[in-house]
Amino acid sequence: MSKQYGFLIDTDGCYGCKTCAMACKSENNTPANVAWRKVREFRTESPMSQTFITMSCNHCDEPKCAEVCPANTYTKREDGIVVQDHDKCIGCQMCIMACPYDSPSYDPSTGKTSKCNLCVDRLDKGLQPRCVESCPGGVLKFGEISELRKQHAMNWVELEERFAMPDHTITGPNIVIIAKSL
Amino acid sequence: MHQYQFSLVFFTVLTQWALGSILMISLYRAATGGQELNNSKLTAIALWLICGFGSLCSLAHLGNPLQGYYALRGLGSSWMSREVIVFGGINGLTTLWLLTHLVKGKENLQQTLGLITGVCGLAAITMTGQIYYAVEHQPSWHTPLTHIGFVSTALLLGLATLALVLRQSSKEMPAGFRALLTASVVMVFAVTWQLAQITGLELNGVLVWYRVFASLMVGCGLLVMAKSLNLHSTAMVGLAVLLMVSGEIAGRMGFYGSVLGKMPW
Repeated sequence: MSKQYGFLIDTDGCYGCKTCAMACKSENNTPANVAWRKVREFRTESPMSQTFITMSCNHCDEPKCAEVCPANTYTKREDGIVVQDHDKCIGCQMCIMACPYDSPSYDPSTGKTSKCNLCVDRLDKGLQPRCVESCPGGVLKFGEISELRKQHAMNWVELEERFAMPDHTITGPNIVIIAKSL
Repeated sequence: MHQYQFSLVFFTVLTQWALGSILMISLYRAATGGQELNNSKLTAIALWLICGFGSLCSLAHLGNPLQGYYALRGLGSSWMSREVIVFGGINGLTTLWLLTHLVKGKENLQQTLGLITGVCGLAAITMTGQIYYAVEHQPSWHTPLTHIGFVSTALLLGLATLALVLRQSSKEMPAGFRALLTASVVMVFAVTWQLAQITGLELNGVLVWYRVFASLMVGCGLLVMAKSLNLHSTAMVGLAVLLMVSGEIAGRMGFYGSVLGKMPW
């Protein structure tokens, strides 16, 4: 693979406005019950904390969606983007069950599943993904994951424990999450 | 995504019931030198229908069932693709097994085909378990308990159906099969207990307790105690079988609900 794109999410600056999620819907014209990007809220009482984590597809190194899809609709491109051949989707929802990050979204009206494609058309035009461009706090960033990882060294163990996240070694998500230690 | 995925619940439980029953009836006949059983044609038709209806339920799970043939494109990596092929073969085998009951002169093939169908059925059931085992981030699925749980449902319901068929034929269940029934009860209880340790009872406690109540306590209790309670009628054993099927359905709802009911991740 020549490169691998990914996201950086600075939760310390995110105040949960969900503009990224709405911009994604607007850009990709997804139906009302389909969300490619979700903003999740996590609260702890002791110590008191509130954290928002925005997440879409993490374009994993070993995408589970691609492994389990019976219709072989998912492909990992040379630039690391995991894309779906939507026409071939049979709506079995196996990808939803298998994705540790609940990224694919099922649309009952069409009987098909879809997910973030990292705005490939915009990337081809030299633009940023719409969610990144729209973020008013500038806390969502996009780029080659090797560069993003240079900006922040993640403590996966602490993050997974704090936010009950799945084990990152299963799929190798291409994200960097910045979260203050409690 | 719906918490219980009823189409998958009915697909897995009904096919496991039918295939377990075909295996146990064939094993019994093999063990007893090919003893004839009453209503064998009716039993074969009923089991074929249960297996066929269960398999059709899997199609109901698809958002686009008319494009279901695309499910063969992922054979290289997807266990679900492989399951589609295997269950196609299993339904072919159950149809051949049914025909040995309906076509004159083919009765001598019943045992052999029944055993082949039953053994291949257990392999197919194990393969279904592999689909969920492959979901590594879900501890209640990514465990050998998934495979064992599916197989134990097939054995338990298969032996319960054998008890019903034997009751109709006024025959007693041989000691070896009673031991197998005891083993399957222990397996179902152990799997239910262990899964409850993983998932807790907060989410699906009612379903877990109903499974223990219907499948093991009342269902199996009726099968075992019917004679001593002077309730040894076909209707009573039939009721026990239906209770056990309902218990396994509840258990399977709990299996799916343990994962699909606890998003966000």
